[in-house]
This record gives sequence, structure tokens and C-alpha cells, in this order.
Amino acid sequence: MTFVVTKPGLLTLIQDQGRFGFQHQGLTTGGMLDEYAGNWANRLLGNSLSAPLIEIALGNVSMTATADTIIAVTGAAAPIWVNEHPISMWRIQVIRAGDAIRIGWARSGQRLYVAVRGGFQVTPAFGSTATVVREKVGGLSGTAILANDQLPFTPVTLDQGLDFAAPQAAIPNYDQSVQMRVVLGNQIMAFSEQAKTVFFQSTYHLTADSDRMGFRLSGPAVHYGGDTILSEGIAFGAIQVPPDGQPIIMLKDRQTIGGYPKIGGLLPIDAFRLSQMKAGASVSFAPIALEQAQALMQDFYRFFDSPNDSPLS
Amino acid sequence: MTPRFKPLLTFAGCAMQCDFELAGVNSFIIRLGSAPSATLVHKIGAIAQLIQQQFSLHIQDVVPSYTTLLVVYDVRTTTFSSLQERLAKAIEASAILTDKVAAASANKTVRLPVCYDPSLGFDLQPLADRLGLSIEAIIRLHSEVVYQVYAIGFSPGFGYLGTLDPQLRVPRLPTPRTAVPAGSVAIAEAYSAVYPQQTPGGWWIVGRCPVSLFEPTREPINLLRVGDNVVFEPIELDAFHAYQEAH
Repeated sequence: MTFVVTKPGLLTLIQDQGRFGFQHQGLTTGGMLDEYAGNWANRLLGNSLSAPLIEIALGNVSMTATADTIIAVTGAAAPIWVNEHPISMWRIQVIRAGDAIRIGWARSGQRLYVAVRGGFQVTPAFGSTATVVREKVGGLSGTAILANDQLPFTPVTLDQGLDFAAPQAAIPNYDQSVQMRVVLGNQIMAFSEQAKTVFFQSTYHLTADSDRMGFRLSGPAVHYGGDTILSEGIAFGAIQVPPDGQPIIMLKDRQTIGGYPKIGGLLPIDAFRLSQMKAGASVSFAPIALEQAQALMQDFYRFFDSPNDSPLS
Repeated sequence: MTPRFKPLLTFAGCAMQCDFELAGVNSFIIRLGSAPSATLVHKIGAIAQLIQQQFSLHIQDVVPSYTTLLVVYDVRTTTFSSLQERLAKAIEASAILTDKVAAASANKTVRLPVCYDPSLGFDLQPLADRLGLSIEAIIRLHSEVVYQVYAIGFSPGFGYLGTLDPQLRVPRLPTPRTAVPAGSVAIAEAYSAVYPQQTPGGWWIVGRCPVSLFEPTREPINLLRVGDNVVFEPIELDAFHAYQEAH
């Protein structure tokens, strides 16, 4: 009972919330880059938020179901067809054995999430199914999904007319620029007033040299005047400043330790949004107080942990 | 030099430095010293274990490194202010326990066989030329030191082993290799390491270790822990091949 992948796309990965408790062994967390879109896909299906799903970079993926099930596709906006009939994203879709699902190229946003009722049945490695290609850990066999791979699920036969969708207001417009909020880290004190002003008052652009490890920015250089730093643990969303002054935002596949000074940590909600932005997109930053940032994250998780109106939950 | 930032919270009661520094919305750094040392890493390794065991409900990850611990917690169940106080108290209250664990780790030595044959340690000759030392002297200086694991990172199971004899210190290669064979024993700056997997690498390769450091299906998955001692034991090429065949 699987989806047989006929076209794997550029980088299609089994993901979940990530791998925790192994960073001291040098294993990064991995996990879905955009938890907002990914969590919505699982929420629509009444799945647990930890249900494995697939993350597709930029679209262009096709697969065929060998059994009945129900899916939800969220994230980057792309045209999707089931047996050549267009279907909507951010909405549940009943699938029958033999159905061919075709996802076109993303028109807005960078990553799509495909969740299946009950989650993909993948054996966790170190407590998680998240694929980290660099470490050859997670997923089906530590690699990205390839043509002819079979993505297993537990079949469920549902009424074709079953419907449930995210409200329009919940669907992000990934082309809109957003101000990114930053919890200032303690090392901010080693940056001069001028360096801080440069960082918070400038507009930066995402460079093409960005991947699941980190997004590199280009713009006015932020000069760090402090002493060299000994390598230390790097948190998700950490904003590192290497000697060239061009900030790097560390994302899900970041290395576990590193020695660049850090301005602080991007609010994870904004880091999720950032990972939907394309090379050349502009970003600017504003500081946020810790208490306010924690409240926003608590609201985020409270929403996704709360029961919903899905006919499947 | 480690920069000294004004800590958010310092516990005067702690016998050692114990500063909490904000890192992000659900993470902070505990700074336990200003300069790396063998004594400090044994202690950091012990405190990391203690926190993982006692706070597993709220804490997602503890990442020990040279002088610090990064603590990542679940923002759904706790806050920075509640956690820092409890952690500082736990660290203080278990000083004796962590001293014991640190002492045990100071007594734990991982012995790793290394074949220093130039066919495997392919940077030995360039190193000898650069440092003005014989290959034999390099091997002796490299294998006579008891190292400590100062940090684990870069790739799964990759341990930063310090500190190297000052005579062997060289900067990283100007251009990193795109692939270094698994098991390669390498040096750069003040540290030595064994590459657990075939990965890109910018360190000078002096030999190869036939023991697998990181095995996802073995317990422990990782032979090294922060704070452990490591000793390299030179073996001949035929012993290296024999070991490989036997495993």
C-alpha cells in the first residue's frame, strides 16, 4: 500500500518534527523546514503532528497510489492534478487505488508538503524519520526520494465527497515580504552599536547559496568587533555573522556546533516563513522581547495541538 | 580568547563559573569556564549527562562544547526563567555527583589503533617537509599524547581531540578535500580527529583507524563522549588489514 514515485523532483524528503536528543553525538535535528505548512497538512487529515510527511522542493513530482487513502498538500503554491483533474491545495483530497497525482512547478513559495492519512509508514532512525542527506540518516534509506521508490501508508477508503479545507486567511502569500523577528542573543553585546544599526536597519537579500543547512544573506556587512569564539552549540534560527559580515541563518540541517558570533535567534515562526522565500527575496529584521517571542511560539503550538473540525479527527 | 559577555545570571554559589546566556526563543548557553582545559571538558561532559537525565521532560537537546553547553528546551512546557534557576540549582546541588562522573570520565580511556603507513596517512610526508620533522617523530608526537574529547560535531561522531603537541600544529589545508576516507586520522591547529564517515575535510591526514567510531546499529552508537580520554596506538599495515577483515 504505497505511492509509487514516478517523478521524484529535485529534492523530495521524508520529514517530521525532527530528531531530538542526538545533537551531542553530532547528529543534526533535520525536520520539516516550514512547520506551519507541514503542520497544516497533518492537521487537515486529523493526523498527529509527528506523522511523517514528504517535503518537496519546488514541485515537479508525480506518483501513483496503489491503494485508497486521503491526502492533503500545503506549502508552496503549485498546480496539482489527480488523473489530470486539477485539485486544490490546503484541502483534503480522497485518493483511489490507481490514481496518478501530479504536482507541477511551484509558482510561489519553495517547499510543498504532502501528508497522507495516518502518516507515511517509515521506520524511525534515532527516534525520527527526518531525512538528513548529508548524514545519510532517516527517510527510506538515508537519501532523498528517488524514482520508483515506494512510500508506504495504511490504506483507508473514504467517501469521495468528504471535504475539509484550511480557511483562506490561514494560507500565506509567500511573495509578500515579512519583517523577521529576532530574539537577541547574549553575543549581541560584542557587536558595536553601529553594527547593530546596520543589521536592523538594512534590507538583505537571500542568496542562491541557501539550503536546508542555512540561508545566506547578502547586504550591508555587519562587523563583529569581539574576540574569536570557541565553537559552541547552534540553535535553530541562529543568525551567524562570519568574517565577511554577511549573515547566515541556520536552519533544520545546520551543523550542531560552530564558532561564528551570533546576533541572536530568528523567531522560529519567521524562520518557517523564510524557508518559503526564493533567492533574491528581500528581508529585514526587528528585535523582539523573549517573553513576547515565547508567547507567540506557545500560541503557534497551542493552535496545532488543539482539536479541529476535520471530519477525520 | 573567549569573549566575556555580561551574563544574564551568575550563580555565586557555584564553585565554578556558571553563566546563563540567551541564545534564542527556546535555547540558552551555559558557560562553565573561559578557557578549554582537560578538567573542564570532563566536567562539561558530566553536567551534560546530568541535565539530560534530570530534565528530559522539558529539554530537547544538550550540546556540550569546549567551555559551554547549549540547552534547547520545549517552549510548550517551560520558560527560560523557570528553567535557568532550576538548572543552576541542580548543577550546584550535584557538584559532588558531577565531580564523580567527571572523575570517571577522566579515567575512561578509549584506545584507538592507528596505522600510520604513508599509504593511508597520505599527508605525513608533506607535513614532515613543512614542519621539518621526520615521519617517525610526527608519529611519536601524535601517539604519545593522551587526548580529551573537547567537542563532538561537524559530522555524526566527529570528536575534536585536544590538545595536539605544539610541534605538530598546522593550519587547515588551504583547499579542503572533497572526500576524506572514513577512519582517517587527521590534525589541524591544536586538535586531532578521526573522520567517522567519508566526508569532505580540510585537516591533514596522518593515518587511518580501523575501528568504526559511529555505528547507527551499535550501542553505544558513538565511541566518543565529550570528556573522554583518547589514546592512539600505532599498528602496522598488516595488523590494520587483519583488523578490517576480522570486523
